[in-house]
Amino acid sequence: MGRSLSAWFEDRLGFSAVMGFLRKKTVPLNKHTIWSYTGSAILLFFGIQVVTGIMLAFYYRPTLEEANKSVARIMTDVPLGWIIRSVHFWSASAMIVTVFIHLFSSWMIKSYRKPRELTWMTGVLLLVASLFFGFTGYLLPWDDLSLSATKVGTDIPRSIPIVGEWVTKFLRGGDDVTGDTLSRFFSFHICILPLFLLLLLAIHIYLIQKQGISIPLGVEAGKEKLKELPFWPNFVYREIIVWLVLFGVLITAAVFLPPSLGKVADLMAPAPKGIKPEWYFLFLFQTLKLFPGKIFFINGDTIAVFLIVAAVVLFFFLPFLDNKPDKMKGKVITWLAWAAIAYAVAMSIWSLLT
Amino acid sequence: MKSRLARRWSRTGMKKKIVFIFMPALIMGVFTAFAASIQQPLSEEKDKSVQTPAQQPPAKAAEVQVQPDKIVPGPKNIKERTAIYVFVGWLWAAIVVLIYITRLEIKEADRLLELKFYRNEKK
Repeated sequence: MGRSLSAWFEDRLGFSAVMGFLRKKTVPLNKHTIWSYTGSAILLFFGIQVVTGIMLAFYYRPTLEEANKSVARIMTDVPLGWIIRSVHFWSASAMIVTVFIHLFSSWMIKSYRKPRELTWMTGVLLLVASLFFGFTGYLLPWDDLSLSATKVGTDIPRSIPIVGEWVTKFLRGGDDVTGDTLSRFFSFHICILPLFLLLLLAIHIYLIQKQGISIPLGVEAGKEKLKELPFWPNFVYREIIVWLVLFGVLITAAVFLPPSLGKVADLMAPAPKGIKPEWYFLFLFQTLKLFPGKIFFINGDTIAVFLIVAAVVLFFFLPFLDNKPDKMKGKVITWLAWAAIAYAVAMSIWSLLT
Repeated sequence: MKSRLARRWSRTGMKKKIVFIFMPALIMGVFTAFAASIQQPLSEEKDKSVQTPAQQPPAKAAEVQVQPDKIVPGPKNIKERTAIYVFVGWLWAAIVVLIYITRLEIKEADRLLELKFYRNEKK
């Protein structure tokens, strides 16, 4: 019975071709293999985000009057609602951490070498989409802190010449952060960004299947022998262990460290003292604070935003800049990666302490 | 070298049985949390507390305006607190058992790889 049922599905779906592909697929085995697990960890956290996000959407109401109340209701009245919200909160942070680790490890081991430039570029876009996910989600509880942080965040593009004003208005749905901004951010958070992220993920995963996982420079140069591990079942079993541990840590963090909810946002109230964005924007926030009001005759914020945009563009086109990874230029770019990590960590700590 | 228990499991297919017990249990646990959260809020009485001021009598509307500065979530009573701690303990126990079994599977898969078992299968 079971065999005939599987044969029925096999005739219609052709799963054996997929299994055949997975059996032939291999993962390079070397000292950098550990970083390969971060890719599947991102998928795990994204899946958890989708499930918990749908559960929260059953109760959340994106209106000025109801947003904060509905989150309060999720946390106090809905059975296990506070855990679901906490899992959503912690998996968002965990996803961004793993995306950062995944990208920086790819930078260090130079996985973006020819012909994997597009894989890197879709990865950078996935990071940007993840950060925008976090930014739009931060406003949804509609408490005083999230309102002020969104006001500051949406005000930053205003410093960009010509298009800045339009970008700020587009994000806010008007001149100021209002109920329109809330419904706009909600649409971004649950419709536009998930579709965009799924599309990018599909392209990214397709490119990985097409090009394969990159091998270290030493192996490529023939200095080391290439060792490989079959993806199915050897590597998948190892990934299951990583998933189980991450899942356990996530649930434990969600149970013991649930996020709180502040007072309902008042549009007329002055910004509270010590507004800070989420941890993943702290280094940008501190960088902006460092710039003076005016540098010569140019607005300090404009220069800061210009430098940040330039850094993001360079990061996006990194595979084309690092075209000689085994030469001195490649080594300098690896040192730049270390410098970027040190800068981001130092700035984030500085922002937390001040 | 395999332990006695591991050898016995390999022979009798115990691993698969335990995976069949624990994996649905883990999935059911998560599903129960999902099902619990999508059901209706706790009681009618609590549901009234989230009505908008316009829907309520004037005296109650004023009451609703007073909102605490911060809502710190957590278990509501000792029963819920105990249930959550038991759930976390059970979750980790299930994870440890599944990791042990997966490690045995890894050893077996690596052994088959060394024997070049998959190479014959690919052909």
